[in-house]
Amino acid sequence: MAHTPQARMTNPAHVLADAGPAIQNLIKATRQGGVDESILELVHLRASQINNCGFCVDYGAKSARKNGVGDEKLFAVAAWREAPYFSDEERAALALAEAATRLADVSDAVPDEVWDAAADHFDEKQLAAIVLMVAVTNLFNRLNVTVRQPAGAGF
Amino acid sequence: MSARMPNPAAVLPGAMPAILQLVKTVQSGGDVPATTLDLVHLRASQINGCGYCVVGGALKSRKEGETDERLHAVAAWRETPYFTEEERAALALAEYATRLADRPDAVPDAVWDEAARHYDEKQLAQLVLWLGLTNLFNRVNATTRQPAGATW
Repeated sequence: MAHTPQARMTNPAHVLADAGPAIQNLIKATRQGGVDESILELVHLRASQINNCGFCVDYGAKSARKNGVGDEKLFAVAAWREAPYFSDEERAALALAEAATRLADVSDAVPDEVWDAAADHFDEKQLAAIVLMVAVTNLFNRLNVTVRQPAGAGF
Repeated sequence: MSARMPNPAAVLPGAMPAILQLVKTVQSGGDVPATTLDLVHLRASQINGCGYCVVGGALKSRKEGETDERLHAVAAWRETPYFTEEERAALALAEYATRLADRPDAVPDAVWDEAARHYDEKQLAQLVLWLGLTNLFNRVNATTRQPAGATW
C-alpha cells in the first residue's frame, strides 16, 4: 500500500502573505547570474537529497527534466562523483552545494579547495547565483521538511 | 579574515529586496515575540558556524534589550534556567530543523508537537520561515566568508 503522508500544517509560504512571491523573487534573482539552468537544477536537487526533502526532490527532478536534464544525470546525481555524466563545471557546483548544505556542526564546512575549484569555473556573478541557489534550496528544504509537505502535492 | 567575494545578495539584482521582503513577512506575519525570533536566529547561526550571523545577531538582540545572560547561555539553553517553555520549544524546533543534512526523521514528532502546543499555525509559520531564512543567510554568509562585525 502506498504511503500517504499528511502535512503537519499548511505550508508556511501559504500561511504568511507575501512569502510565496518573495521566494519567487529570490529564485528569479538566481537566474540573473548567467549560470546554466541545468546546473541550478542539479544544485537544487543534490542539496534537497542531502536534506531529505521529499517534496523538493520530487518537484526538483520533474523541473530539472523539464529544463533538459537527462535521466542519466537525474538518476546519478546522488552519486555524481562516481558517475561519468557530469562536466567539470557541474562537479565544481555540486561539490560547493554539498559543502554549503552540510554546515551544521562542521568546522571549515566549505574548505578552500571546494571554493577554489568553483571559482576556477565560475565568475563572481555566477558564484553568487550558485550560492544563492544553494541557500534558497536550504530554505525550501526547511519549510517543506519541517511541516512534512508530501511529495507530489501542490505547493 | 577577508571575504571570498562580495555578498551574493548584493551581487545579484533583485536578491536583496526579496530577502528584505521575506524578513518583513516574518516580522509582520504574527505575534511571535521579536526576542524569540532573535534567539532562533542566533542558535541556528551558531550551529551553522556563521561568524557574521552570530555577531550581528547578538549585537542586534542586545540593542533591542536582550540580556547578556541569555545571549551567553543560548548555545546551551537546555542546561540553563533563563528560557521560558515557549522559548525552549522554539529553540528545539530551530535546532532540529537546522540539522537536516543526512538525517532520517530530522524533525521528530516530539519536537514538532511541543512547538505546536505553544504556538498556533500562524506563529509556527513565522518560526519555520524565520529559521529557514536564517539558514539561507548562514549559507550566503558562511560560504563566502563574510567577516564578523561587517555590515552588508
